[in-house]
Amino acid sequence: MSKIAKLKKDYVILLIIGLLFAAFPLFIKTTYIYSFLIITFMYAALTVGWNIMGGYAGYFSFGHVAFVGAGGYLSAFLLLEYGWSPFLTAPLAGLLAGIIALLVGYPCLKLRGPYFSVVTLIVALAVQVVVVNIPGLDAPRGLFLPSPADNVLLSRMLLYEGMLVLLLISIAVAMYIENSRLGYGLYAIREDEEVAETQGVNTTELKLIGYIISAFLAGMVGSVFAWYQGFLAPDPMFELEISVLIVLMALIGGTYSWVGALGGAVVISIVREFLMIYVGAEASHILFGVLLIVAIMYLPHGAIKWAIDKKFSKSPKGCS
Amino acid sequence: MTELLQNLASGVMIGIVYALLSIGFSLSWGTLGVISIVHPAFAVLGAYIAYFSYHSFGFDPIASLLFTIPVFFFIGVAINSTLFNRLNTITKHVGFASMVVTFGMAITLESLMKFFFTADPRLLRIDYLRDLTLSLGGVSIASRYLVAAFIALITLAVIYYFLYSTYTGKAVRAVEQEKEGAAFVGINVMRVSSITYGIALASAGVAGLALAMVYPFEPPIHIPWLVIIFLVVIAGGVGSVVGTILTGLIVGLLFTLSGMVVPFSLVNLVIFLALIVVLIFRPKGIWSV
Repeated sequence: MSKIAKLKKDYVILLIIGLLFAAFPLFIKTTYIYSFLIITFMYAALTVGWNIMGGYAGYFSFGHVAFVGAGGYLSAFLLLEYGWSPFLTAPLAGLLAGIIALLVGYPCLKLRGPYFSVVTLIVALAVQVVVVNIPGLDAPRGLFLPSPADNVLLSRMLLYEGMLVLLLISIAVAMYIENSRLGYGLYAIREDEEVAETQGVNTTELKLIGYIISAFLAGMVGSVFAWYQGFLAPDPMFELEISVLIVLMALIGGTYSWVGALGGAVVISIVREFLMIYVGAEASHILFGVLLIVAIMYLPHGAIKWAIDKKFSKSPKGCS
Repeated sequence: MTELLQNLASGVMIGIVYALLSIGFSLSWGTLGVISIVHPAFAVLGAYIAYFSYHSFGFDPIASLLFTIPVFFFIGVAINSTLFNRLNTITKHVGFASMVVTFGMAITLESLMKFFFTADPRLLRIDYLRDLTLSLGGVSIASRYLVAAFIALITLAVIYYFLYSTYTGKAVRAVEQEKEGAAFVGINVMRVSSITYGIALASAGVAGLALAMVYPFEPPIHIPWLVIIFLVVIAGGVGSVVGTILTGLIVGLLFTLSGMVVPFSLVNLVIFLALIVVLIFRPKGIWSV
């Protein structure tokens, strides 16, 4: 079967699974389930998007939350000023994130290894400082956003559908990239950037495109996340922990394909939820830190990748 | 004019403290390849130890160093010989993996501090330093700044002496320059790494005391401190002692002098801009040749 035909088949399967999930609100009427699924889908979409640079190209960004926050604030602003629904302004939020990625990525993507991780972390903090200081936005005091519907359950359902669509878009984009010239170029960069360059791969351009796509997806997620929050404060929107969670989810699931990123995000979200319910917020934080340490110490190549064999692995054995 | 001199003086004082805060981070990145996100969180812990030894037990806060330094040193040795040692065997992306691991440590430490010490902001107010100021030609400097800078300066001098004049210190620098080569001539890299990380954490503890005298602190403040460390270490050149000290001074001056020109909330932005400029034009640090 040719690559294109296989991709088409995969898209059909994705669509069917997506429709199944989209039908949830017909049967399930508990608000709590939707809150949990919205956050899970959000992390899944972010991790799949992050993986485009972090996994395929091996550029581990520690500042992905910058794009979430910037996109979220743009959508919130448009909702408050003009009453435009964040569902419609999500692409604009993505665009803003993409522009930030373009500006930041140009100098930063020249840096290799841990330098890139450190600098992206600083960029996330810098974007937060900029947003907080925008005159007229009044970000530090917090913004109240009107909810999508009067009924709590209904608005959760709407946000759930929105986040589901974003997750499906992220997966579809990741699937496409994995089978495209861009994807192969990024894989080549991960294996050996110098060699890729000598083989005629335009590494600077590919890295920048990959970074912008990754940021665009995160910006869109940010706009729905902002609406879900209802009360928008710089702290949760730019929480450093989101960046680190994304990295951890990808590492646990394995970074070679979107399947690992998705699996890692789902597993970690469930674990976090359990910790929250059974040991409380404060203790769950402590336990979570410990979990982070244990996870990276004992699962260096990703658990999902082991669990489902090398079926989804694009990389030859022995590469890391 | 007086204001400028005043800011210059306090900038230098704070700069020395920043240099001390960053030196351990720089050493552990340069020598171990470990990017220790937890570094400023240990400084916050050191600040709390000084605070409580004074305000709850009545000891001189400076005497708390007799406890902080050895304890932090052994914590550092323990962390290195368990976690970082294993990290080195399982991955070649040590820098990145250590960021995730030490971030986990930072989250844990921050939550523990919030739990035990509450999230209230604290400021170490030492009674016998309260009303003392040094006046020099119209410039007056609060004695707590002077004492903090003095403590930092002594600690930096000790670290410098250790690295450049003792046998073990020279081994640390050898490992930083060429790990395999150092192992080849008979240096126990594992032992040297442990000592380095122990010193790094101990210096963070001292920096915590110095910062607690100057600024109020609370558990989450380790993130802003981390930004300062990043700026100093990246601009100063990873692993460079002299570069870190000089850049620490520059950052301290940048903080106080930019505070004269722009509103306080934008001072951080100046710092970020400075870092981006450095990264674009001098990605290996401003002192690199």
